[in-house]
Amino acid sequence: MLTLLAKLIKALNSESSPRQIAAAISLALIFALSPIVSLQAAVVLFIVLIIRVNLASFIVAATCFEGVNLALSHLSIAIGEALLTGASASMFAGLYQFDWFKLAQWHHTYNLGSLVLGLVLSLPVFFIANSLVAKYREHVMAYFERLAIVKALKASRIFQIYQQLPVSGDRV
Amino acid sequence: MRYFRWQGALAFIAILALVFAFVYLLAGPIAKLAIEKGGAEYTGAEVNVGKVNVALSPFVLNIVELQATDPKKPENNMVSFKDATVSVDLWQLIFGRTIIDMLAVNDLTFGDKRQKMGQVYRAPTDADQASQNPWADEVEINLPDVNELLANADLKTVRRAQALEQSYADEKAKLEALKADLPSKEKLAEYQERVKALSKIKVKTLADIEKIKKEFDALKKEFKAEKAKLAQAKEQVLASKTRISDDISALKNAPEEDWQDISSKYQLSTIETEDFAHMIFGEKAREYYQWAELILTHVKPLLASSGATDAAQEAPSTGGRFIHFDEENPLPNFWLKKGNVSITLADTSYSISLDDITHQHWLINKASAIAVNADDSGSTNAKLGTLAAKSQFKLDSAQVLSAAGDWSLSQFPLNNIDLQESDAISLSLVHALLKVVGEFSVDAGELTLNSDFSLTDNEFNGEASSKLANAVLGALSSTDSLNLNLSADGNWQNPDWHVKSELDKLLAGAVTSQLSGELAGFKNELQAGLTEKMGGSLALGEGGLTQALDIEALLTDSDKAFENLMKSDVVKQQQKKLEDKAKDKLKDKLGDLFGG
Repeated sequence: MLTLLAKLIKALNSESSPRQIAAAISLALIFALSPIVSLQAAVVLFIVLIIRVNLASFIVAATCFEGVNLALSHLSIAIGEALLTGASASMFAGLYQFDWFKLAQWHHTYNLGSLVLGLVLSLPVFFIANSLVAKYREHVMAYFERLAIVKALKASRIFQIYQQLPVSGDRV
Repeated sequence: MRYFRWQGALAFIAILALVFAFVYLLAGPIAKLAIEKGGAEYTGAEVNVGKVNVALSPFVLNIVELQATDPKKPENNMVSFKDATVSVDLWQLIFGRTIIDMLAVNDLTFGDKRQKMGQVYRAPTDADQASQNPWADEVEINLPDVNELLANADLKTVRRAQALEQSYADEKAKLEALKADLPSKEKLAEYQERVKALSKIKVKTLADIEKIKKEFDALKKEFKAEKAKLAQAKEQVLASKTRISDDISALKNAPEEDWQDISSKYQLSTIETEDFAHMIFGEKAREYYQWAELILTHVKPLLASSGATDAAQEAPSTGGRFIHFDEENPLPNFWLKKGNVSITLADTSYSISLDDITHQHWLINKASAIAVNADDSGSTNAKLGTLAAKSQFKLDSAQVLSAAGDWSLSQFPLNNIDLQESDAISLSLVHALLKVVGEFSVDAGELTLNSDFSLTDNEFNGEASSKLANAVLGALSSTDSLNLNLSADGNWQNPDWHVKSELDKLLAGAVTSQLSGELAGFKNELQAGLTEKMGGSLALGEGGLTQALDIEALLTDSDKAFENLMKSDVVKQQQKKLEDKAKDKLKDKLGDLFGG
């Protein structure tokens, strides 16, 4: 965990673009809201692996969003219920004829609701994360660099680990 | 290229490949473990599987050497087979449908000896093992105890007597409250006095008449109010009367209804014509029937859950739910396209062929077919003779069953079959040759089944310690052949079974007279007890009814009295008096005028 946090801090402070970190965070949101054993979770994982996003940010954000998921699961189910039984039911009845739809289990209220909620929230989360990372680098990082305690920490064991780590998602 | 990380795709493929390799290599052991654990949980006893082979394309599962311990007899297997191969449509399995293209089971055996005693994890329930002993000679032993029956609080006589007592108490309280609220005799006399007083007032002018009319109108209003009270009271009395008299007639009928219940519960009405074939062969037949019942118990929930349409929806749950829509080309949830099972019973092999087995026939538009065949009549050491049975069945979307089938068995040897083992009689069939011919059909859920059993070359053996059992044993020993007819009708899930045999005629006469005398005594004793139980309550209820009738008479009298008072012509009388006075005055004046 210590290593992982160090990786996140390093990513925030590194040359990784804020968009790479923000994309990882918004994908982590979709991943965390989805059931762990589902096609949509596997597809998000695949995207995270092949698109150059920051992996450490993805892992830490996905862990945090799992907690958020506990609070949002009822909302996900309600969205799925409304979509599958409401006005759009006929559209889903059409999609139900395809095997891939049933394979993805999007006729399950939680699966469909969590995907839709994840996709809808991922856009604002991307822009907010993007701006926060940029602001962090501009203000917080510079402020902390000047603190005496930070200078002291730089001599510590954590900082040594931090220094030794490569940052995933770095451009090659 | 700057946005893609190709190593990631490789990692993803590697993870997938690892998962598939893991599944492929461990599928067999995992399936073996799952069958052993799941089977043990289901049967409550040890289940062993020799080996499970899994092929992925096409998906074929091969189970070798399965043995399921019989929890009742751990040294034996409940079921075992040499090997079973099943080919399943994996793609449909992912969607929750079990489509079996082919099933082959070899050497399916029931009750064979295990090499090592199996472990029992859950003791079997013996609820239905304690069957009644119909063989006792003394009929009293078969009859329930009268005192115990009479002490039963569930008897209709007891319950209705309590209900009547309650009704009496309720209605009595209501009637007493009502009585207190009714105009008393004194009040009625007072009203009569007031009317009388009005009629005695001396009238001189029209103003006096007007005053009397006003006062009488005021009285009339009071009478009306009293009459309304009386009408309301009458309604209450009528309701009380109805309730009490209903309860009285229900109580009067209760002893007869209790007798009907007791006689049907203890089958007393049929005791005189007890069918002996049922008593002798029923135990054995029940064992075979339990197998069918066991299968039906497991199939029933499937039938219930399959529903008429795929649009059936689950109840909402906290973890979300599946919403199923109608499919353009729906497939059944379970469909065994082709199956062959070879069963070994008592060293004889039966071959069962299964075609299109499902519970959703309307989706495949085909009927399920089952055929059982065995023939060793040609062999030198024939153990079976010939057996041929075939059946077809089909359920429509409303879950209504249609089925038909027939069977024939000839020269089937029966050896050393224990038919009865009780204190009163032990009876076994040493040897016989069985011939069975039968057929059945289910039309719109209604079953019609008829099967003739014929035992030839019989030899029975046994011991009996009661007269009844001795008579049966003697009759059986003296017959060389025995014919029996089994029939069933009614709803296929709960049919009425009938067994007819010539044995009944042989034995019925001998025991009927003994039974009927005992039965009449029992009935008299029970009915006397029931009548005594209802006596007190009935008297109370009838007293209540008389009370209600008295009040009703009182109400009618009072009502009549008020009616008379209201109709009183006191004003007219006074008017007439005034008119007469005026006339007299006028006459006097005219007489004075004309010197009369």
